[in-house]
Amino acid sequence: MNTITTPQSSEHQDKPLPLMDDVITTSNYSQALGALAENPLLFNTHWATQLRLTAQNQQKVIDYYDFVDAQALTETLYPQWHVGNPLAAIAKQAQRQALLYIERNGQKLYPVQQFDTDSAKPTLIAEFKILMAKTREHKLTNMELLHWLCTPMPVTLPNEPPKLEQHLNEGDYESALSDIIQSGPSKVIELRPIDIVRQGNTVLFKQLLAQWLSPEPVAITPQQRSVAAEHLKAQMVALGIDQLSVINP
Amino acid sequence: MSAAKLLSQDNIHQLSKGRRFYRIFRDTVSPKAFPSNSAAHPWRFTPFTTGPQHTIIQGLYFADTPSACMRETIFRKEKTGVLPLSEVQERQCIEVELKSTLTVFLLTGQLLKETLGFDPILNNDYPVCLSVAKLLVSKFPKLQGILFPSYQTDANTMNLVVFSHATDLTDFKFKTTNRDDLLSPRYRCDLLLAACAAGKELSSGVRDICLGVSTGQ
Repeated sequence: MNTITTPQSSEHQDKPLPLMDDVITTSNYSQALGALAENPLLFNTHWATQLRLTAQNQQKVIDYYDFVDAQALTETLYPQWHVGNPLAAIAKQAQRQALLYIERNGQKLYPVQQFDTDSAKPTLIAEFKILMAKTREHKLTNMELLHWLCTPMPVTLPNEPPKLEQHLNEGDYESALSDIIQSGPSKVIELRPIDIVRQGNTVLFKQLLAQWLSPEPVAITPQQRSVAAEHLKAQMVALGIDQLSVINP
Repeated sequence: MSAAKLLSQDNIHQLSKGRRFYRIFRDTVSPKAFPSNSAAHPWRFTPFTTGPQHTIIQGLYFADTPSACMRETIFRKEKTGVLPLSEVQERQCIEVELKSTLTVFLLTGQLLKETLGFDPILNNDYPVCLSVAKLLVSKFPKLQGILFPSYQTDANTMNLVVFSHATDLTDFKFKTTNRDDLLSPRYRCDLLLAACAAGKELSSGVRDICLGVSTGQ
């Protein structure tokens, strides 16, 4: 096995990063690795930190949501749904990316929180359809979407701002300052986007979404993605982190 | 609390000629252009209106380092979720140097706590920050900007906002030789460092480009 050592001091300095076997080393993989080699910073702990963050965020997703497989989905959530082959129907919806899922050990798992359980057949909450289309445009993975949905984000509930104009126009700055002090700090609350969307507050939900995804992205080719994924796979192996399958579902 | 401290001339400082800052901006606009965001979507200290003519004051924001700029924009603590590609694809960073001195108010957290009893910068309390900016600009007509600490960086870096009514930016040299995309080789390391320092995960789309296999090169 070929090895390359990290050129800068780091906690992984004495842990050589293994290259993949020559048999499976593609020219694209070498290209990606070559780009890394040009930049020593990319070799040390920072990519390792990113990998750890990815693993932590994925764990948060796993812990937060209730996941079911297709069988449990049809039997538990929609027992009254009568269709010839429900498992095939679910699989088809997943293939069309009309359902949000992650893959674990080759199995598709569906977060229960995406479903409108008042419906007689597997149906997404309306906002999820828009959300999934939006995140696909932005080349985000299902795991990345699920992580954003379940992470609490601070929202400021501003106080009524003090009317300073009169004091300022009169040059009475002490009174203006006194008004600011009396109005006090604004309140900050934490909200999970998933809770907002499930409560049907679409206006607030769209605001939260716009904070995350604003401009439209430029396309990345599948080949570019696959090369990067190969490199990450090698790094994850080196760091003892598994579950690569859910990074690019 | 000592409210008078906030209104003291002692807080006015001259930033010296040659001091450098960095600015991140969308590549669809000029880095020198004052934004035209509305009062409905304010930034920390701007926009606000002042005086009998209700003059609208806009602000242009800078930070000490490229990483600090990134922490203040795309990696803010209150922003959740992985960093999407679209957040970095259309942004650039540029180095800026002061060509002459700049009159600024040094607004520290300690001063705010002593004056208001709380720190609206730390809490990202934009409505209060806006009121404070309005008060300072009215009290000190020659003020060109506010220098304030970056709580996003957890470090001793400072941010600067300059006001549209007090400078036409001819006091600034925008160094186009040090202007580049955030995903360019020049700023890619800063991006990775800032992400890790902020504990933010890059999305797979950003990672693809940072790994050097995409159009970012």
